[in-house]
Amino acid sequence: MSLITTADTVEEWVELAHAEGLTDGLPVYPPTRAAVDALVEASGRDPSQLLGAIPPRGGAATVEVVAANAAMAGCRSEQFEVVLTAVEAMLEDRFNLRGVVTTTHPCWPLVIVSGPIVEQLEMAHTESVFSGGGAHANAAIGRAVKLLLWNAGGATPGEPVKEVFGHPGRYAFCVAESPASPWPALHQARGIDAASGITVFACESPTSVAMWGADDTPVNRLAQLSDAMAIKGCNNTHTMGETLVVLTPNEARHMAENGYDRATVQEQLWQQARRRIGDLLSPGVPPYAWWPDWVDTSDPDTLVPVTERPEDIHVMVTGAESIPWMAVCAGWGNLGGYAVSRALDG
Amino acid sequence: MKFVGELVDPRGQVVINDGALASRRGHTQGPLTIGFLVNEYNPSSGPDFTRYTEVLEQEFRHRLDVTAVVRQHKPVLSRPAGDEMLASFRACAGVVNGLAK
Repeated sequence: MSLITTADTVEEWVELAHAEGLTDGLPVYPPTRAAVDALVEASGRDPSQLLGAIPPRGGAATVEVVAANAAMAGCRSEQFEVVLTAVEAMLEDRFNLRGVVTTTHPCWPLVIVSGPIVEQLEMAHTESVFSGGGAHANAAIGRAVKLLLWNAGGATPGEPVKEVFGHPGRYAFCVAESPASPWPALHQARGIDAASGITVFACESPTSVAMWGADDTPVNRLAQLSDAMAIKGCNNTHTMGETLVVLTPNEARHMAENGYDRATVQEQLWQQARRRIGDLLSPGVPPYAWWPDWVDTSDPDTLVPVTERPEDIHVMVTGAESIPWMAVCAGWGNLGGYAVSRALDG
Repeated sequence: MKFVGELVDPRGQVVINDGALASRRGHTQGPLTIGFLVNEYNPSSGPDFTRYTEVLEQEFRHRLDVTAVVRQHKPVLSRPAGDEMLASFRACAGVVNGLAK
């Protein structure tokens, strides 16, 4: 812990934080000792407990440092454990946080919160869910993660971040799964035996898929979604990896009423979301080395799936009960950002 | 609005990596083996580092007593090379890493 600067007023602090490079442009709260201590105490953890070094800068993410960034985001005590758990998940090697943060690609860690804790924290899970839904928790949790990666990780545009276009979620990227889903929570489907949990996954902003021209049969609705999953230029289309699809609660119920569980949706999407090799490669461009051996690259008519396995298509239920609608959040492909799920208390 | 008190640094102390460095031979006396670790086997766009290493190889053979080369390509450019791949460079006097694009 250290005294980094002084300010006599909050207004002065806001300008100082910008001048010191402690924020990405949005104003931040001052990380006062009192606010930080309150978050640490609420977590029940030792303030010096090290979660890991945040790449690429390598700043030590102790519980206290995470709390400082959470305080700057306006996090409340009951939200802090979600932030800590999400950070721990992102620091797993398979997530490749260094790559996710600095890549040219517009992806960012999405924090997906599932289970009873969604309602306990009054998280938004209906209209505008991907833009916070007006809920304090969605915004504060997503913002806390961003500020930690900015301050401890040094994730600043230009150097070392090479992101070509940017991602609106780099301000805050946290959503909650709908309690009205007919299926088990996402973290449970991924093998976490807990009522509440989080899943972190590095992905693009949602690409909207309205059901224009599609009848109400699940197979044709999913065919519509599949088309959006396999666009040229998408990292999944060219390298596989993992991807995330989003169904509204009423769409998910409609699937379930027709006998579809999550696995069936995954399998059907995996079968349909494919692209002909001949369409993906310009003449003379060799096939990609990261496609598995069972992809026949010698035949231009081979249909390549966007993931290696159906279970690499993560299916989440959230959003408004509204007209038929789905979305796809493409992943970073086979370069990293793979989903990691953890249990939460509550 | 006025407030008083200590502010906690949100940046955290930088963690120094204490991992062992590769041994330094400290000489360029031959015969030498040089390694090339290329980030991507057949890039569809951007610099062709495989070709770059071929040019470097010629220079090394000409200017230094390089008699052997180990050339490896990472299967995924954004992830570190695996242990087996790194072990293949153990006998090298030096290794040139491919740059990311």
